[in-house]
Amino acid sequence: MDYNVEIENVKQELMSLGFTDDKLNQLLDLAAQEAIATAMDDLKEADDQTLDELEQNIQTEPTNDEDAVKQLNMVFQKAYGDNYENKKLELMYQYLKQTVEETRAAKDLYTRYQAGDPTAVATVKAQEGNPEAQKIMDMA
Amino acid sequence: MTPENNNNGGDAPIRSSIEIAMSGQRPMDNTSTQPESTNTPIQSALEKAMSGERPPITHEINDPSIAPIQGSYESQGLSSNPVDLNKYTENLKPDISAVTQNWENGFSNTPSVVVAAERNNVKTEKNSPEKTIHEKEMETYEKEHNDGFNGKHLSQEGVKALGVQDMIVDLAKENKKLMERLDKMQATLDKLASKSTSTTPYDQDPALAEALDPNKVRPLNPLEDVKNKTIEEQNKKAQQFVDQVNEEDRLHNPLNPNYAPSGIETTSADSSEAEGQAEKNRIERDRKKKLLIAGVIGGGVGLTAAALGGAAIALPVTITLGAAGAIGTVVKMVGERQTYSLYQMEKKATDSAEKAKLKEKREKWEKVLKWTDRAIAFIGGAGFGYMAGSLVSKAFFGGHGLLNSGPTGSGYHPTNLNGEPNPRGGEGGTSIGHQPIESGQPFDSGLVKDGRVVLPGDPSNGNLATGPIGNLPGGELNPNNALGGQSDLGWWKLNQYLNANHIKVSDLQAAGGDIHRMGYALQVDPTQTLPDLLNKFGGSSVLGQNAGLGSTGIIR
Repeated sequence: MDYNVEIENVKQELMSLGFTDDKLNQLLDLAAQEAIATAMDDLKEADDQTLDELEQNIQTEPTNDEDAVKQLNMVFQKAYGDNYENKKLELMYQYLKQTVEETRAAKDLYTRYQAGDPTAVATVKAQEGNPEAQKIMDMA
Repeated sequence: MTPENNNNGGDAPIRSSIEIAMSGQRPMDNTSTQPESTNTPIQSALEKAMSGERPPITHEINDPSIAPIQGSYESQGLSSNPVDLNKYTENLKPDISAVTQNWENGFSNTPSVVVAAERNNVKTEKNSPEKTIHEKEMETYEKEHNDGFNGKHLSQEGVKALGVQDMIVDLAKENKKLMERLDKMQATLDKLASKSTSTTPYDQDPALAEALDPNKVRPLNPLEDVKNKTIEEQNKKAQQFVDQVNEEDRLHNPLNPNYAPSGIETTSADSSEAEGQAEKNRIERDRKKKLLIAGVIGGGVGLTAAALGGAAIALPVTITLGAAGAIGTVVKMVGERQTYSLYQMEKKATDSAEKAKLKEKREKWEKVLKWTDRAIAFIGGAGFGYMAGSLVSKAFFGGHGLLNSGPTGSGYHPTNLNGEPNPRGGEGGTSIGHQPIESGQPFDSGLVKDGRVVLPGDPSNGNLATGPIGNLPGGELNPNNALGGQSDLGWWKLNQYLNANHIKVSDLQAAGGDIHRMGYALQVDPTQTLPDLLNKFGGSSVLGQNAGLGSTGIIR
């Protein structure tokens, strides 16, 4: 699978769903962060030697973007080997694809809610008072 | 006169008294002293009476209902020959009532005479030597009971008695027949009984009997055993699946009474500070994503989530949460991924050396995590906040952001994979289509100039390619929105693809791409993407040649 092509396709889907440039950029950053966090989780299973090498190579704080990117790439490389570039794109693609599904489901639910679909209304009503909703709104 | 020598020519076997009377001879008028002798076996009563052989017979009738017989009759003849009365029948002619009536009316005073006629089918003992015992018995009975009975003076009871006797005889005959039938049936029964006793008894095969025994405990067929085990395993798997579905429903279906809302912070108290922070960051990212989605839903007209704010975003957020719970996306990202904690492993370790080793590993990992966060923050300049794609462009796409390499030129309306027009709009007018790319100069593929196709020598050269100018539903997918209909939209869209990916017509032709067929294919199916077209009609290599787009060029 060519993740470059797939990511481009998913990006267009997101645009068709209503993601603007700004939202898409934010989403892409979230996807990148998620990918890095996933790599870090996978590094928990790495052997001591791998962690030692990482520790030695990223001891210095990055002074420019290149150093920062280099350190991040090293994290991926130690976690996924030589195929880390493709793995990065794969993680990005999965996150964006999932966002597409989530957005479509939300749009569908919203449409049905507006149409008065009892199931949709019940689903939305069930979320009223959910503290998680308030936390999300607090970020707005 | 005997029947044999009947000189009167009559058919009667005997000469009756009537014949005598009719011949003009009357017993009383007979001049001879001796009545005419006859050779009949019997003499009529009149003859006997006339001959004076016996005194007149007197009738003593006790039954008052029977009128007494008038007059007396005697046989006038004399015969010493014994007579077997059984061989003859005797009748009075004319009968008594006729004689009486004639007498009263003065017609005649002729009395009745006894006419004896020989029976035709009288059987004697000599003629029927083969009498059955029953018949003999009957004859004996009749002789004993009818001895001396001549039947001339039967009373009513006598008649009844005779009727009863006849009935007895009939019943005896019937009884005889029944007995015969009974004898036959008995014989048949005996025959059948003898046959049944002679039948060969059934020799039952013990093995067969055992095999057919319905209560036999059969040993399990090996195949059946396997089948049962398979069914058992299938049932077990089915039950596991049901349990998993129920658990999913409990976790993500808001209508489930046991619903546990997603997104609840699940940071374990047993995780280290760094691990806890990492999990918090993950939850934070998930919330940001939901906020973005809520902004898309609530901001269908272009408002951002931030612009909506407060109560306006409440419903979209609620809907987003409900939808996420319904499709279980959180589980896919978080729940399915069993984040295992080094800290927990360290705590669970019983061996001190192992514990120390795990602790050392955890500390190294936390250092890497910390430095990684710094790198991210350095690139984005805002830690885990919004970095407007800078992290992506630098860390993931070699410094070329995914969005910053968007298409140029007015009128660009990207489509999704399904060919649907991008409904994006508003949002400060910063859509990709309206935003100049990095160079600031729109790329021109050279396919369209002044709204017309530029393909010298091609039949489509000079065709309209203005793109959608109408506002009918369907946008660029609706040919009625373009001046030149389908052809217009097809060529216009191909030009958008080429511009977006910085592909010159000359380069595409040099790479073997059939531009004419690409344009025509888009007219037929405007949802096709550029990679599809390049794969079908050649020229895929032009994508790799476009170094200016980085690792991920814009491909539509």
